[in-house]
Amino acid sequence: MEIINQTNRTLLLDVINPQQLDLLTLVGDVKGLDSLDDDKMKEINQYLECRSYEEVERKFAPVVYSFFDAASQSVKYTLEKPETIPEAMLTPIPVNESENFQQAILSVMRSRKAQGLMNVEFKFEKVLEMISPKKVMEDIRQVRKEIQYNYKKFSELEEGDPQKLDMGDKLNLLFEDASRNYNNVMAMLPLAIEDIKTRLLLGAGEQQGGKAAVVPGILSLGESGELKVLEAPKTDTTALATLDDNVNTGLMEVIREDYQAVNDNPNDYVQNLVVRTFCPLASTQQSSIDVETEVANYNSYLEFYRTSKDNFIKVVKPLLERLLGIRMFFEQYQTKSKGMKPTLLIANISPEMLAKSANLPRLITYLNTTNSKNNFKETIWYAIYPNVAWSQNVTNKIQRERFKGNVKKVSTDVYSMEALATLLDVLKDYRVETFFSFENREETTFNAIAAEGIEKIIDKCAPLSGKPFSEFAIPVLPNFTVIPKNKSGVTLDSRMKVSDRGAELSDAKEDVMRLWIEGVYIGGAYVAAGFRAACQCPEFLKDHFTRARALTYLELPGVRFDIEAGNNSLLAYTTMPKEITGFTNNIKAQINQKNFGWVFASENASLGGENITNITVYKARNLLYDPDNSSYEPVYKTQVTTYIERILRYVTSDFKEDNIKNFFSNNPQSQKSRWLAKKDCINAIITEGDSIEYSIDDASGVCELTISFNGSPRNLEVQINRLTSR
Amino acid sequence: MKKGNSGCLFLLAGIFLAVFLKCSVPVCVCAAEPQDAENPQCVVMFVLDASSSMKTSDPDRLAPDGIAQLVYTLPTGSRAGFVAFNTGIPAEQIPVSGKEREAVPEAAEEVEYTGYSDAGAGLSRAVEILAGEDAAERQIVLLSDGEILMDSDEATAESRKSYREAAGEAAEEGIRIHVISLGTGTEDEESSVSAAAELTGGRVCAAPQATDIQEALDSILTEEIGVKQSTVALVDAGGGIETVHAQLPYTYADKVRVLLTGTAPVENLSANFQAQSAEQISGERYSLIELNRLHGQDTENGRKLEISFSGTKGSRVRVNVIPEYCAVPVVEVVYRDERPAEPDTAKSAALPPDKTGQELPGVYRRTAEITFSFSDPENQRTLLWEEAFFENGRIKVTVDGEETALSLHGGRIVLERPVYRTEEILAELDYSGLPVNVRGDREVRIGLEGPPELPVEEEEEPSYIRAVFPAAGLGLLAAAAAGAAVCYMRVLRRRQEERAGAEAGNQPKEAACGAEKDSFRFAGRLNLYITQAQSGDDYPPLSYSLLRLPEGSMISLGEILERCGVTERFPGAEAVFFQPGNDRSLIVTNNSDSTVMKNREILMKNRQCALLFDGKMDITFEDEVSELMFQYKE
Repeated sequence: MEIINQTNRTLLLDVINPQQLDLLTLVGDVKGLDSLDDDKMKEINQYLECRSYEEVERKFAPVVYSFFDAASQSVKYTLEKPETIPEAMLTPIPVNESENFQQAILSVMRSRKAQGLMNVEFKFEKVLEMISPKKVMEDIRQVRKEIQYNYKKFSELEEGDPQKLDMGDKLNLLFEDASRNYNNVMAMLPLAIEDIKTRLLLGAGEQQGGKAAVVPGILSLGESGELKVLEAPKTDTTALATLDDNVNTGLMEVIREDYQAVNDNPNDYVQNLVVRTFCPLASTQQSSIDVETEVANYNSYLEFYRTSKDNFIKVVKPLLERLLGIRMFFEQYQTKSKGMKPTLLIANISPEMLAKSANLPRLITYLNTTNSKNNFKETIWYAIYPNVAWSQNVTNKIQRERFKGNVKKVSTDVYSMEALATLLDVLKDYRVETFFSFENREETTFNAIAAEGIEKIIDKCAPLSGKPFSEFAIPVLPNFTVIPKNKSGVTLDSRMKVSDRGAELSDAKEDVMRLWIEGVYIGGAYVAAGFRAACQCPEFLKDHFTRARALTYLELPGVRFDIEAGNNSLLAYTTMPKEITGFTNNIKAQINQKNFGWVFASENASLGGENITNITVYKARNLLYDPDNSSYEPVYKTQVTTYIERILRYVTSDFKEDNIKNFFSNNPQSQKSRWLAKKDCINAIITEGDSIEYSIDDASGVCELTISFNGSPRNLEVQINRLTSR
Repeated sequence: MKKGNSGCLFLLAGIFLAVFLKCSVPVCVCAAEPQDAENPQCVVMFVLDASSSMKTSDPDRLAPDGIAQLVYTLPTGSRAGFVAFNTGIPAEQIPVSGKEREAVPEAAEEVEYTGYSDAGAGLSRAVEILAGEDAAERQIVLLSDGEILMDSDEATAESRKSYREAAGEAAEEGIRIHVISLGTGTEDEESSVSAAAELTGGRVCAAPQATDIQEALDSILTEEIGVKQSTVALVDAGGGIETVHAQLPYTYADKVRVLLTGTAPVENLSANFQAQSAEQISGERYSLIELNRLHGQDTENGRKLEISFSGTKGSRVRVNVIPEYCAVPVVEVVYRDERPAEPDTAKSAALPPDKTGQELPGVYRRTAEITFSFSDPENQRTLLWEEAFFENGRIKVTVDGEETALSLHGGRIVLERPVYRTEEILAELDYSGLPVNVRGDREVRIGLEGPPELPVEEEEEPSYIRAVFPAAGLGLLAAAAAGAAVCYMRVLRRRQEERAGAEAGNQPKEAACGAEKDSFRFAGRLNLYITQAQSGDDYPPLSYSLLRLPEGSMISLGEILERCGVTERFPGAEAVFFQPGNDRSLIVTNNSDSTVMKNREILMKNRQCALLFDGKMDITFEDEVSELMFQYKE
């Protein structure tokens, strides 16, 4: 451990923001280079290495670009900056926690986890309403309240009062936030929708069931004592009947002035909208309402809002899924005292691009620098290859589409099996274990696996089995569901219609404006890599195994930690909430028969009387098939072998024969003896039942190590360096 | 080292085998004195059209500039002369050598473009001058815009006639005429000056633009005059100071000329080197640095050259190196005597006869092993061309009209020749197969001793044998001991040199790799990544297992690509070879003009290097477009 102090640095083979620097660009031309210099490595780390999700957001600033397309009269969104559109016409929408859709998704995840509810029990619709204009307006109301409160205070204070200046600072900040929307028609849309609704239906949106216009009245007792609500005498305006005062007039003036100053092309309609939004009380100078125009506006705004939100979600969803994956990678590492914190190096380049012949030398040179040196600080141990294409064989050929069915998804953000094989071939030379998961779709979720089993996935992984790189390929299944496809509907609002009673919200089913998110998922590879990376940290293991009274040696990484052994999976589990009730015995038998893949389980389990509501790891295998045992090999064997080879190379000064002998000698100071002394620990390198032997073939100068894990041997050959020893 | 050892082995074998069948005796070690360059290898006459039409074809007077460039780049011993023609002959300079050659560019520079073009008079004068020169090669380089034109038709016809006659005379004299045709030339075949080139077996180079003269001269210099030069850098000037570092492989070179030619003038030239003396000459489009005897050439540092210059933005500057050696052949003869297999006359008559047509009966069959090594005239102990760069370089040796091409190994060539009697032979050496320019002796006289008589059969004269054999044995033993001593000294010296070379980082690996390459087996595989192809195709990564190849064999990169199913041709791939080395290394030999890089170092042409597991190399092929990276994996 004093030598190798990290065994969990992970390379993510995916793009987050194509506008930011990527691994290929940073590595640059490698002609004639064996490795990169330290300055270059520092630069790469500066741009691509992240130690937390916040750092990812900061370094990669994920963004969606929006622009208006006059031809189709709609808003378009794109992840890649369109080169043909002038900068001034592009609006970048940062995809961070303050973005409305991401907020909604995170809320879903947090509340589901807090409630410990399974997918079937959780009310997704409720949380997802967050993206409707109604909820947007709610947030603005909060801002509005603050502005009013602070402005009131501000106007009451005397000139020259230092407190007035403090208030001024606060107001400046609030106005700054509010003014961001002035220029942005899209951001103004929900305001306009709600504004019209408020004016026509007297805040119907705020009251449950209020769908028609209200006529203000006065409660009185009739001649015969009956209760009556009499229509109040009409005023000139239809503005809300609220008390006006000087404060509001002042505030209105300030907002109006601010809008004029900030906006390049001020427009009366938007000006009034802004004023009404941030200062909506009776003081608005509305003289008359053309109900029909307003209703038409409302309907077209709502339609436009729905279409653009729908377009936005379609574009942002894949990016968001990636970001959620990264978030979950880091989230797996939850421990009180931090030790070996997982690090993620984001290549920020499509793996398809990386796998091209022309680009592979760059990757090779980079890995040569990180993994072929005796400096283990930057060694890459794992890689994540998400979104492997799920090419579906069409079995039911349909002659005529009688009903509207699913459009065949031609995803551009899925990556091919071929590119994965090419990259694995390179990564195996540097002993990088690669977690891969199939693309996010209903067929790869817990639901589908529970229903259909893993046969399909085994078949799809067949091209990667029986290859020299199979040992380094870890298929992860299933993917996690954040919002299931069938519960992804969001009701935005209903259309309005003009009737004899004036404007009212339509009750008709077709007038309810809904949009469908069509499911949000997280690739299993992120979670598996994050969890495995977390398990490398001795502090993490200690936290989770104290309950089981297991010993942990804080100087050793968790390379030999076998999640499948004993109750380990019930003591260390993921942070993901349970999704389904579990797999059937039949499917579990199928998984156990071949011991295939890195499989997560959403099973009912309890340990020591405590129910486990999280998802656990059921299997942790790679694609190296052991025909003797008819099963795939556990992942820890590969990492222990890698770890021992690296330590051995270091300790023996690049495999000097005498030093190898010392390494395995019975001297209590030898590396082997020191490992054996810790064999009772949960993170021991050699545990009870394991053994490590070596034999040197003098003729060929090869030292063969035989590492037996509970009797099943693994061989490792190293070429002895005899330059000084003989 | 191997050769020295084998010499010793022959000697020792001789001592023992003398009693039985064979005997071998080292006889003479001779070294000739360097020959004075009185008989130059080459005389070049420049004939320049100075008519007024040249003002249009060569407005910037690049032709005189080009002549100057060529004169300075000619090998030291060559002579150069000059004739200009317009209506008459405004300037001429008889061929001169050495420093005096400066007169040629000076004369060319002074010529003004005016009047008509009497090419007949110009060429006649040039041929006349050359006819009086005694040299192995006599050549004329004629620069003209192509047409013979005088003030009257009669005069034109007269000039044409004398032009044809002069060309005919040149052809008879063995003088070759190369024509650089400026401008668009003429369609009138009769008036064209290029006919002379065809008649004399010369070359016609078209230079549609005056700026193409340089290229034309360059091709004549390399391909016709046979000057060896190599390009060390092609720099696309960015307007600022450009620096070129070159590691010259020319140990013990007498002169190294560095020639910078550009499409626009080169300025602020400065060079960093260690040499006995140096000279810099600059023209409109060229700059030349002549370095005499680089200091510390036997060390890597001594052969380092750093040049910096500023070129006009957008122009391309070519940096060429022209190495010149002065060599004195050193000859060593070792005889190998064998008793004729069947002493009966019928059989011996069937053996190849000597000059008299008869192999003498009663004598040994003697083969002379003539080893040529080459020393530096300034320090005869210094042997040339022992480095790997010269390995396998060809030197032609002509004896009695019989030409044999021999390969250099460790700086030596060995010629085997049967000896039937004592004689003196004249060996002519041709160094044109070497990658460098060589001056010095090309003829060596070697005295060969005839074969000794066969001993008399024991059963016939036992007493004689008893008396003669010990004496003969002793004599042979003494001679063998002397030879052994010479050999031992050579071996010793060579070992010392190699050790010194190894200490100075002088390719110890290559020597070690090359020595016993045949006994190693291939290991591992090659992962190939074609990063750029001429066709623009994207090739998936390729892998080729070397294990299946037979022991000690050699395979080219081209062949590997073909076996991997790549049909596209990568120029130069067929001349990059792989063979197994010790410790499971892979020896890569670059015999191509491709740029082969390993760890930021270029593997020069005709050099080898060892690649260990996980080692990688990058190749930019000869087309300067296609590129490939390969990694040697376990």
